[in-house]
Amino acid sequence: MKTVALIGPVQFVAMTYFICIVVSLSVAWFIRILFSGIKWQKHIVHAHAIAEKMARNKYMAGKKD
Amino acid sequence: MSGVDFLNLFQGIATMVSGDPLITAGRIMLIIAGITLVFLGAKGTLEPLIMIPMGMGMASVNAAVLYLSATTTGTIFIDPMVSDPAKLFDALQINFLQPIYTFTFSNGLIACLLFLGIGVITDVGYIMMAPFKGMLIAIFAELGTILTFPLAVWMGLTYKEAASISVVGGADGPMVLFTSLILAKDLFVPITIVAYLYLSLTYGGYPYLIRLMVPKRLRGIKMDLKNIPKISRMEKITFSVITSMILCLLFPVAAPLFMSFFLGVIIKESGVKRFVEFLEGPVLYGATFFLGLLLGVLCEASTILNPKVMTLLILGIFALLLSGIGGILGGYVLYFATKGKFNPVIGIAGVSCIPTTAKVAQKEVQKANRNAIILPYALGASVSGIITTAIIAGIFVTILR
Repeated sequence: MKTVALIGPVQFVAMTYFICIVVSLSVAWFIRILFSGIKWQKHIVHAHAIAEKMARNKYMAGKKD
Repeated sequence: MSGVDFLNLFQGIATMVSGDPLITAGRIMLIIAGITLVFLGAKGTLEPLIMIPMGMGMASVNAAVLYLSATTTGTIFIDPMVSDPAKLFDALQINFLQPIYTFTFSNGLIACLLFLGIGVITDVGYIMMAPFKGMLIAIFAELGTILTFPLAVWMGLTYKEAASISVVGGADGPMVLFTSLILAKDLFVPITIVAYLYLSLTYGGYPYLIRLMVPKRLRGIKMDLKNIPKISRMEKITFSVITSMILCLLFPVAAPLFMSFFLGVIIKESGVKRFVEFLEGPVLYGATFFLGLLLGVLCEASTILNPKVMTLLILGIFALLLSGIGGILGGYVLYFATKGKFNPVIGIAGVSCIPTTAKVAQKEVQKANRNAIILPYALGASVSGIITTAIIAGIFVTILR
């Protein structure tokens, strides 16, 4: 509180605004990362499913021959 | 019969006749103001959920002043200034609203209950679909909060009082209540009343600001609703849990508010029907009712007639006006950044006050273009506004406490 009184109201509020901007944009950035992670995970699961299906088809085709 | 002292019998009138003329004038004015609020609330001009109980409480408490002893006057509604434990115990037994004040107001519980209710009716999916746009608008919409603080200090308020009144710019009633309760306990009644009074006026005032700042051609811009990503319940829950933890780690002083809000969101997304019904019904409306009633009852002339009230009234309207202007400026920044694909009216929704500002934005846009729907984006900006206001309030409370 004493330090705040020393730096003056304009500087204090500028600092507050700066912290607010950094934290808010970090939250937005975190949401992006979260989405990318979830998307990436979905892609991997999807790719695994395709690979499994292809392997099964190949195995069935081999059995037929 | 001749020995009956009628003035002593009708003590509400006796305290008016024998009291300080300034306080008497204040009481009469507040009775009239209270009755006016009841009628404006009932008519729908002001927010009825807050204004009807507040007006009724304000009018009744100023009429019902009585002699507590031979020399002191007061009411049997509430004593907000009592702090001595023995006297507080007496007050809890005598004043009918004292238990609610002591156990829910002075510790900020009522703000947390409101936030639980707000969390349950909020869909965080709107912020998750366009996080940077929402946050950017919300940051611009804090302009009122930021500019009001130094102005309030220059007008003679202390840093703590200045911080409390400047949070009105965030347009979040519970947040103003929470901040002023911690930072400026002597002024929390007038600050919170100013906040709620002005917040209920935003519905009527902001449309004029939109029409003034955004030409009709731009108001009618359609938003892209086809490419909105679908967000699952688990994604919303994950976001809520992690964001709440981050904000609690950064600002432990405001942790009760963060936890309450995100707990509400998680309960909603988890689909716990019984809890949802409980929080969005009895908790939210119960807290709103008692908030209004207690704010009204706290408006006793001797408490509210503070020379700083006029300053607070000016600063409150200044904060909300500037936040509205800031929000629309944020909308314009995105309009230019997206080469005309973003409707600048959405900016007004960054002033939080969920869902009022989002509804105002949608209403104004639809007047310009019937087919334009901006509500999802406006709600995203509104939810972002809650987060940015909570961050600023958290910083104020942490540093200035």
